[in-house]
Amino acid sequence: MGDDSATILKASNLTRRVGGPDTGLTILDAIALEVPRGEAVAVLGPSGSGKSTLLGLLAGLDAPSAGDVELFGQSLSALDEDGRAALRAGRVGFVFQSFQLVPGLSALENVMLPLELADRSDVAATAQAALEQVGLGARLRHRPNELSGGEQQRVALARAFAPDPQLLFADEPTGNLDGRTGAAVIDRLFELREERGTTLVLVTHDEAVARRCDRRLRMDDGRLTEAVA
Amino acid sequence: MKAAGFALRALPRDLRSREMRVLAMALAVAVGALTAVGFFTDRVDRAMGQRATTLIGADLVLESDDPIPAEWDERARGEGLQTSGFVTFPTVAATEAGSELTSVKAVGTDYPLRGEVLLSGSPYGEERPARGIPEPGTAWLDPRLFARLDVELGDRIQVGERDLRIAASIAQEPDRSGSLFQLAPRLMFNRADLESTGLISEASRFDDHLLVAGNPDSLERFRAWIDANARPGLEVQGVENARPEMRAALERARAFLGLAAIMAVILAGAAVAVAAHSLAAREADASALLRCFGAHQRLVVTTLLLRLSVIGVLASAVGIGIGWLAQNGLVTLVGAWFGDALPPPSLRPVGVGFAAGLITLVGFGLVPVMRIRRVPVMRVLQHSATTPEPSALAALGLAVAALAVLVFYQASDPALARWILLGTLGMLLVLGLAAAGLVRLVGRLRGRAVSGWRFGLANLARRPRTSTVQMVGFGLGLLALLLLAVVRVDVLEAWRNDVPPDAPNQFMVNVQPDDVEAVKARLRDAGIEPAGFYPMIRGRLRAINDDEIDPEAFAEGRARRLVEREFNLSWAERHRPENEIVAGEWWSDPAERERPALSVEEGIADVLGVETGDRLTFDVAGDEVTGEVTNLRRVQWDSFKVNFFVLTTPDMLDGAPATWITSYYAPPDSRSAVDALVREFPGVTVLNVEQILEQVRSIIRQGTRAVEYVFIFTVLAGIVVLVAAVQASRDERRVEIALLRTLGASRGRVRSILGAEFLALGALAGLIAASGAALTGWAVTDRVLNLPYHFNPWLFVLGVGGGGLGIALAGLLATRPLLGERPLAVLRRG
Ligand SMILES: Nc1ncnc2c1ncn2[C@@H]1O[C@H](COP(=O)(O)OP(=O)(O)OP(=O)(O)O)[C@@H](O)[C@H]1O
Ligand SMILES: [Mg+2]
Repeated sequence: MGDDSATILKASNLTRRVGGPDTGLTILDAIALEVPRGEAVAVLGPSGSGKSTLLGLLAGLDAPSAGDVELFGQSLSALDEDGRAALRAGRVGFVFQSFQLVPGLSALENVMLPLELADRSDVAATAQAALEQVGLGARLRHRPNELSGGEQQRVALARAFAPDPQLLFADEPTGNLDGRTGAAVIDRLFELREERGTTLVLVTHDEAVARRCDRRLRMDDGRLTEAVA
Repeated sequence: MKAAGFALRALPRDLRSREMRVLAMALAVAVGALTAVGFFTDRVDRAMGQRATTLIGADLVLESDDPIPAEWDERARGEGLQTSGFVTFPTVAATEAGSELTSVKAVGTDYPLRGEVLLSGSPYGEERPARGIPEPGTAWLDPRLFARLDVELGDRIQVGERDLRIAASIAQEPDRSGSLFQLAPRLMFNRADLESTGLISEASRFDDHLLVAGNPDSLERFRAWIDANARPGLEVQGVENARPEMRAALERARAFLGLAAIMAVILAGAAVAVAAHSLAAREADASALLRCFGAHQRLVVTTLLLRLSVIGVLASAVGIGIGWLAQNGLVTLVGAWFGDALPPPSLRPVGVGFAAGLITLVGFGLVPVMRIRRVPVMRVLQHSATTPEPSALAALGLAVAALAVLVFYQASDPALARWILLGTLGMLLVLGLAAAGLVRLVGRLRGRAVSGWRFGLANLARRPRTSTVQMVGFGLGLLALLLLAVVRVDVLEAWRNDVPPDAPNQFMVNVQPDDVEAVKARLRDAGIEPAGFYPMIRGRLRAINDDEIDPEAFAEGRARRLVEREFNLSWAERHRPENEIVAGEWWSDPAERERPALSVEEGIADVLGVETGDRLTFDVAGDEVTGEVTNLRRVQWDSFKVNFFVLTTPDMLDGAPATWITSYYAPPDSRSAVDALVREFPGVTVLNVEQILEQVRSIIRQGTRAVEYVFIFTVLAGIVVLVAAVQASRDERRVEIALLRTLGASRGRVRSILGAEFLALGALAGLIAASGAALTGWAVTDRVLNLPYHFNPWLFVLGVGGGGLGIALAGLLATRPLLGERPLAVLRRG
């Protein structure tokens, strides 16, 4: 599937429109993007500019109105939803602004989830190791409502990295956290990524965070421009 | 496999989840109601059946015009059944004073197996139960024979070559009622004397009867054997062929119980649907997440369905347990009223219970829960991405299909089932449309409302879909409670009044046309008001249109019996209002009366395949008369009034030999007057139906209580629907409340907003429910049970007032914990 090629993610003419032909709204306008393996890309931009929409299309969570995405060398337009999901399993990790932990499951079970979906062996041990790496080895059995926001996001980090994905999407991972807690989470994220050489696509408002990435892109009204700092 | 693992892991969480709990409660109630009624009606049916058996003198009667082989008797006894038998034939009995055509019944030991023969020491004298059967050498006589043959107790009577001593007057014969109008008077003696009469060989109209009684399972096996080995000329008579009054009462009782259980199931189904809908909403995030992490859609759906099945099986098991306990309690409560020990319940309802649980779950829950398939995966990034609502049509379609399966199983009466289904569909449609309309109306009006009301009403209008679902849920729940609180009383009352205390308890037949006025006068002197005198003419059905009647062409059983025997015809000018015309028109116009026309009872028309416009030809005393069926009538057989299967226009039977018949309520103190009347007009026969009347009354009494008991489940189901509906918007409200609190609204203010919203929801739902209850009451009373319906205005007072206040209270209680939550935490979680 071309896993060895240098480009892990490629978007061409990526367009997303909503609504009818008259009242329609173009959220993403013919976006072209190429992300080489191992690179960290930041996407900056004002609220409502289409960053989350872009992330969703790149990850194959939704289908574009026009254009195509190639993920691990595989064209997403050739796949149906289940095909796209199968492509993600174990290879794409996510960190969300609102944490998105399953409320009824313990921290450990939450981390086990993507491992199980990717049919990994030794699921529990891997998950436990991942939680220990984010400093939550003592909180394995705790449920999300028993954890603070920062702790929840660390569980989400463990969950994202546990399957050792090649590509990580993060949508404002610190958006719901105060400055210090957010900074700690970001530090941990970059540490883990550097250890494993994970490719990263990170949406953020924070210029300082963006500067830690190899490349910065600016989203404006559905258009993507290279922001050379 | 993976799905099973996920489902198992979710179990502890599911057991704590509100939606799953509501769903499980609803299922347990539905299954409980069905199994309790299943267990119970089964046993009660049998007990009621046993009551009815006294009317045929046994549980099963085999009748044949050839001698019944001894092998059959042995077969029955081999099954552990009790047997007896008798032979009937007409013969002329003689004394010195004269001779008279009689209907002989030579009875075997143990006759009758059910019910009892009542005797008196003199004709129409004081009644006492007979001990055993006539001793050999003695005879019991119809009271009419005493006068006609001029004999007394102790005199002798000649029957064929045999001379018998008269030992008693027969006051009542249990199985005589089946042939109310058979006119030849009865002569009963011991079967051991039959041989010596020498009549057996020459009797052309000889009917042999085998009576069988015992436990239902053995009876069933015996009956199956008989059916397999039956030969032409054999007729099997079970309780179902008993008198029409009894049949009508039993069928109503069964219909009532079935309705009660089905109502519980419908309500529980609605609760399942609402809970499943909320469940899918709650599971939306988790399943979007799973899909995001690479799960197949199939895995997500299978996991959820597995979780539902686990809950379904657990809830059904609980429901079966409840059903078991309920029927046990019921039996200890009601068993005594039925007198006989009820047969123990079999394990069958357990299987039926699981099946019913599954059908309810799938039928009502599948479509709402399957919308999990369409959760947009983008939801993980954009919380505003919402799941499309399921198709209301698909949801309704599947629910109705499931209901159809359950209703047909439970009611096993296609007409009733059709009514229930149509009624439910109509009710849901009306509820849905009314709710949607009201929600829209509220949206328009809210601008004029003040303070809390404004927000509350705005909330209603802002979520039209959820508000509508909630209102339908509240509407259904309130509807059930209203039906039970008000309509139930009216309906059961109507049923009870069906056999009023002064219902006719005697029939008088064979009054000669010239005696009618005199008999009327005598009755009036005795303080008796007859319910009308009617002419009766006997006729045999010869042809339907141009087709000669061939009894063999009719299905064995009721239809064939009808065409083989003589009909009691009558003519009438005016239509009796208690007999509803269900097709065609009565000959109200004098001009219409000139041509020969017929009015046929609806049931018999159905059995014979006759419709309006068909022509029927009868043989009346040797003349053929033909008339066109111009209308079909519905007759209330349990009214104990004189009714006829076939009525004609007066001219059509002009000149045919008629006798007159009447029925009336004879108070106990009028007995001697009636005796005197019978002595004055010896041809007249009086038939006492007090015993049947009492039996019908007791069926109604017991039936009413059983139905009330089963309604407990319906109430529970109604409450579960209300709970489900209150919970339906909980998650949305949680965020809303947090927002309002963040914006600075005090708790009191939030409470008043919520209160206004629930009050409006409840009152509007109550309005819909009251209309629905009135409609259902009418449909059930008038259409299903054929009883008059009276509208009760309290429905609306209770519905709107009670609904508004009740729902406001319940809603505030349910959202109370939400008020205590920290707004920030709620909003963060999204
Ligand atoms: N299905 C949809 N229908 C209509 N509008 C949509 C839809 N999805 C997204 N939008 C709109 O597209 C725009 C981009 O949304 P998106 O969530 O991608 O923005 P964003 O850059 O992530 O903003 P934020 O920084 O606030 O998260 C917004 O104006 C949003 O309202
Ligand atoms: Mg965004």
